[in-house]
Amino acid sequence: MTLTQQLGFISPILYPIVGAFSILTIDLFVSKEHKIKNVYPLIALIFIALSAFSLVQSIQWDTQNAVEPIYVFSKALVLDNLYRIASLFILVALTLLFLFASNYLKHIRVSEGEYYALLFFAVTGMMLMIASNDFITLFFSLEIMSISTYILTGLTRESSRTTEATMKYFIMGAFATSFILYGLTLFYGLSGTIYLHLIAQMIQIENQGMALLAMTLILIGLAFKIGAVPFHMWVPDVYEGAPTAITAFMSVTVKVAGFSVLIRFIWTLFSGMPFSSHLLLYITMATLLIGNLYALTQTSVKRMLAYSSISHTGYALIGLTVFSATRDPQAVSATLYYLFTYTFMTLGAFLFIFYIRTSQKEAELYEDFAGLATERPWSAFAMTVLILSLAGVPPMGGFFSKFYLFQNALHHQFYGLVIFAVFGTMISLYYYLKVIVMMYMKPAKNVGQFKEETPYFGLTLSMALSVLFTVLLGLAPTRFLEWVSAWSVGIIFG
Amino acid sequence: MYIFLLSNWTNAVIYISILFVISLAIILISYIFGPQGDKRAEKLAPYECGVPLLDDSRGRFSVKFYLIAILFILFDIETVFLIPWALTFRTLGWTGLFEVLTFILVLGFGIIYIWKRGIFDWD
Repeated sequence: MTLTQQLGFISPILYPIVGAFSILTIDLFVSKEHKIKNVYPLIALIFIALSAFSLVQSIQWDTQNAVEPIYVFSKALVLDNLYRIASLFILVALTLLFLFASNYLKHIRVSEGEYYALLFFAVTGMMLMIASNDFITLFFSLEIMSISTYILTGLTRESSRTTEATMKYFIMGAFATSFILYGLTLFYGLSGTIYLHLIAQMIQIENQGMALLAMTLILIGLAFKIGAVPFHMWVPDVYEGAPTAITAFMSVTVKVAGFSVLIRFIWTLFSGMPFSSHLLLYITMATLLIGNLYALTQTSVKRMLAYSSISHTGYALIGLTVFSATRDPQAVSATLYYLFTYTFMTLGAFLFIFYIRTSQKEAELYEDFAGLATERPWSAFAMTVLILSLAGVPPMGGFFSKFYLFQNALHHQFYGLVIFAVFGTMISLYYYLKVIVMMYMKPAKNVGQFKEETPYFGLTLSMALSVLFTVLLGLAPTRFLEWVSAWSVGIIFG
Repeated sequence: MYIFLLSNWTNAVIYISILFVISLAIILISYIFGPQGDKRAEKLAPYECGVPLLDDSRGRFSVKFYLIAILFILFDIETVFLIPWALTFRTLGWTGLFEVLTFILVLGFGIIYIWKRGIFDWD
């Protein structure tokens, strides 16, 4: 196919790039206080809408007659439903972030163009990563995403904790990427090709021990990115130190992108290998355990949410463990659905922390939320819905996604794993409900300490949308289930 | 009895072993046969052009040097990527030219951006 045709196929990836460059160019030639800066979110949202529309249009719904995925640029990229669905999740998260960006940027000392551009570049890296079919594309798009995220973590330079978080994330992230690189190199050495679809077709790789080593190395790097134990040490410090809006974005999108790459690797490379399901099983159990236990003793709500993110990674990994053992596409559908609800729950929860300011400072400790319900009942209600969804209480989306996951795991007789996960959920109820208790049942420290005026316009809208979708995904899940069940159409054929 | 297998690595192993042996030998011999006894503290103190230190070497210098170094690395890597294209541009034809132009334009945009942001204003 011609170059223009191929560019047309990857237009969802090109739109954020063009958006980033256009905002940067405008930002370059206007003075600091120019009124056009209020239009940036609109421009950004237009590009996101174009990209999302193009993605939605190209999703193939027909799960019965599987079609060959579209390979572009000499098979460097594979455009299949997994790429389209996961990219949509990422774009939705980005939209929720851009809704309040205009006012937010007026209050922090960050050049507007750079904020928008970095977020767009991070999203471009993620979409490229999900669409990559060969090792080189995977590696450099992983780096695009990671480096943009490292910079975003430290962009506002608010406190020494932020700088510390950035340094930790950068150094550990670079290290994890080198693990992935080593694993990819070993796979190349074993198979002689860098294309995933060719390696998927190879019947047997001779040196099984070496293949196991390569797979483990790649798993280590990817487990770092999604925050799985024992590669989770960066998550609490980075989530706590980064500016909360960026934490909200990063916790959701990097995880979705990392999981998508993991799905692709498990589908093509890891399923046939010995011990792959064992490895994933141990990682899942450790993640569930550590994530839930460590959150119990936290005094900072932001850190508690970080550990809860780790435990949610554990739940999502259940689906991948089942998939690597049984190759049942429904397991991955359950994981993707879990990631979908996780997007809204965690984004909303972090945005809530961002939203509640006590005397112009972010509310971080549990005590800072005391007595919120008397002064701002709607905010407290929103957070209650999000917290109950995170804990997995019906009728919120969190319950249904967990239910779907556990149902699939039990169907494949992973009884121990599900019991483990349910114990984890029971433990998690304590630290989730503590927030609700603080908001509703404890008196406020000083009367009127939660300022009445909304700090950032559009933040209310973002939070409302997160809560709305959280409830919607729990009450009416079938339509969305249809969405995620289409992921396997056209995935690289084995 | 040892069986000596000739492999691709034989040369490297011999070379590295001789390397280690000679280096160690030189150091050991100079330690054993070198001058002994003069162990005053002044012998080990740092010096500057033959005289004791004139000022504290922990001076601060501007972070702009670091930025210039980073920029050099970036544009050097750009040059590294341009060289293979320069060698094969005839085979790559017009399509190749436009792709490389896109690459150069992206990086050119980068330098215009930082130029306007004042990276070259050293005052």
